[in-house]
Amino acid sequence: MTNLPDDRIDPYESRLSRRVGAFAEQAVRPIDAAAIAAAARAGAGREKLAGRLFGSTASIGRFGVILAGALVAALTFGVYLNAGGNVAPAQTPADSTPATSAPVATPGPAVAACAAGNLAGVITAWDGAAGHRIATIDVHNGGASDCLLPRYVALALIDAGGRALIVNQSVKEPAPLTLPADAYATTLVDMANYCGEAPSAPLKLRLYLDDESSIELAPSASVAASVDPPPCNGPNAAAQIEMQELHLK
Amino acid sequence: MIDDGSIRAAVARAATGDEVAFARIVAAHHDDMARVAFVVSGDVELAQEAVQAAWQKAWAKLGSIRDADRLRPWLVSIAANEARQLIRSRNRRWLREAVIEDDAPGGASPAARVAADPASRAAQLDLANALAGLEPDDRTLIALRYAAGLTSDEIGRAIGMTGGGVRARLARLLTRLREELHDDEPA
Repeated sequence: MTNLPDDRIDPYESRLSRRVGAFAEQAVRPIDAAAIAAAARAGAGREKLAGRLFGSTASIGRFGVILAGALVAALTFGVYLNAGGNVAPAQTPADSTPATSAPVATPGPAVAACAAGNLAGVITAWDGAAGHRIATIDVHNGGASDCLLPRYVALALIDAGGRALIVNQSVKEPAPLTLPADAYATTLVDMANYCGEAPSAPLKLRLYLDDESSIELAPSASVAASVDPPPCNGPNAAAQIEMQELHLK
Repeated sequence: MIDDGSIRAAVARAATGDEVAFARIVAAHHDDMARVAFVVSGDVELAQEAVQAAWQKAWAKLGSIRDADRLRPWLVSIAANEARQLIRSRNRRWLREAVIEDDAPGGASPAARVAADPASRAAQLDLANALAGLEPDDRTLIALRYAAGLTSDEIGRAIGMTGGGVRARLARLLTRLREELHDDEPA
């Protein structure tokens, strides 16, 4: 519900604000932000070119509004595949704990956040199960010293041209992982229900380290480059992309 | 929800054509824009269409935003304008039409999809009819103030009025709505 601003005009505003706020909630629907952004970009481009490009903005606009999926994402992410294709027991990010050998968490004052320029990431495996695509990813600290890597980051599944297919901006914020120099962190990224236009291969992932920097992860040489995006489970479910906690490899 | 710092960074990146950053802005502001467009238009589907059109304009003009603090007022005002243009272009009446449709067999209009509880439903239909009796400019003021929570000054900047002018006009609207909605008791 929207808060009433501080510059009150009349005591009645509080009551009217509640009424209007409750009324306006009818218009709120689950959305696919990546699809809406893509449609906005495509529509703006068409407008700029004064109709010289083909396509319909109306259908894209409707495509951008997709119903409910966050809960589905939370439930389905309990099942994941290892790189070898084995189904692991259900595990949630909250349940997962770093390996006992990992130099866990507590950021020392001398350890700086990992700079994107010092990190390199790859997708080491693509797996699929029950309408999902699951990427195993590695992130390598190529810098000369230890650095702090967020255990969860904002994510995007992107195509070869950098177009965002699925975006997740919800990020848990536990203490960061201390990633030693020349060490690898790894985790799984789960994606489902992409209903947009066919993307150009290879599919990649973008990990946002913070608000200013990100790294792009392409499939490693040993991984098939032509993996399809997660199949569309229907326009009534939202696209999803979720990650498990990054931990030392 | 993205914090203010993240929004600033996302605006900066999106202004350079970063679609992923733009998607983060969409995720943060789409709901507010839908609320505003709905209060202006009275039609959920039309509101969604207006918001999509607003995102298209926002993508094209995001570079003009110098102050990220003004992003939200800017976005919701674009959504309000798009909703106004759509209802004008389609010569749509506001919710009076939708309320009638809702009573038709199988014709549950999204605009009249109000709370199942009869008292809430009646209250929302009263509000819908009261809003329907307002001019589009006045519904825009109501939407920006009570659906988006903008200050008088923010509304003024968005629609080209002074903050004082906004307050005076809202005060008149409050008096009118309080009478029409029989909201005479203090909040």
